Amino acid sequence: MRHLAESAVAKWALGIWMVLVITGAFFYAPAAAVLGEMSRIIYFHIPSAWVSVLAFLMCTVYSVAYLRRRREMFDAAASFAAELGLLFCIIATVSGSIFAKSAWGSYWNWDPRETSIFVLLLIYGAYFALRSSVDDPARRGSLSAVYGVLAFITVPLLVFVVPRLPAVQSLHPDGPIISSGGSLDMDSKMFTVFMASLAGFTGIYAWAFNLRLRAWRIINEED
Amino acid sequence: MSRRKLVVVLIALAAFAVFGITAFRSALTPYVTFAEAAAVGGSAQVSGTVDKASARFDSASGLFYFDLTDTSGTTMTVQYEGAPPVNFDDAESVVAVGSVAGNTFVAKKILVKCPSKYHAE
Repeated sequence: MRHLAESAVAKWALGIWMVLVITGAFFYAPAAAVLGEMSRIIYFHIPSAWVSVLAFLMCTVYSVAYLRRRREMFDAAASFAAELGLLFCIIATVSGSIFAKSAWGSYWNWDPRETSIFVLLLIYGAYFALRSSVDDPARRGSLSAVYGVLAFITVPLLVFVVPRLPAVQSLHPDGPIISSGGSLDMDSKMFTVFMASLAGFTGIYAWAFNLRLRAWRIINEED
Repeated sequence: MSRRKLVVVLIALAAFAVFGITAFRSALTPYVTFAEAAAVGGSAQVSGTVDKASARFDSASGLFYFDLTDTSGTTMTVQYEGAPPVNFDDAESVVAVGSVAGNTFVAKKILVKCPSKYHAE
């Protein structure tokens, strides 16, 4: 994994892959009926949301690892994962808001989906507020690791459970990632681009995360 | 970590999760019924289904009318100043943002929920 993410070949392959995804999103996949050209935003909106959830999960994994082994590297890795999670969460929020304007008629009307992602942004924003308020690395590591684990409990609740509680209606559709039934009602060309984009975004996450960790290693493990 | 400690931690996490759901539930949805909107008095978001046959645009006054049935089953005529939203005819459900004025609901904005079927035209 580490070798793969560090190799120049993988980096170039990812770059070419994303060029194909972006080209495919605009020129290969057809526009959806009703939603029209704006429907193409799903190739960026949903993968961002997916990477955000993945990154928050990785933050929790590294937090648990830190609590067990107390290695500073795990604390750093947890914070890098949370950084990327927050970044992609912001991208998902902004792209979702643009999509909402075109599909529903309003950039922001506190739909349950909008409220829950807003709460998620606050929760992970607070993670960094917590980190920057503690100077002692060991203490900061412990506190943020515990917070990282607690914070992730809210992720499946906010992303998957809350918006489809009975009595909670939403203008947001059950997408492929957050679908309850797992049925995927999508044109085959759209599906190809969509899956390629999911893979590409996951690759971007792995690349960015690795880059950050390597930089950290160079500074902190001078050997 | 001992087994007992692990059980305590898991129970604490479960309790935290339940608290999280219940605490947010009421604050989570902005959508209300006509009765609740009337009680509020000010601006509210009423969600419901549209009787498409009732939709009519009065070109003289520039007003758009349609009958909206909320989740409790109450139907009210919604008045909107302007042309219907583009996706209105395809809407699965509609949200009217505005306030109750007598027998009509005066909407400042109409939001539509489109069926998200990803197929070409």
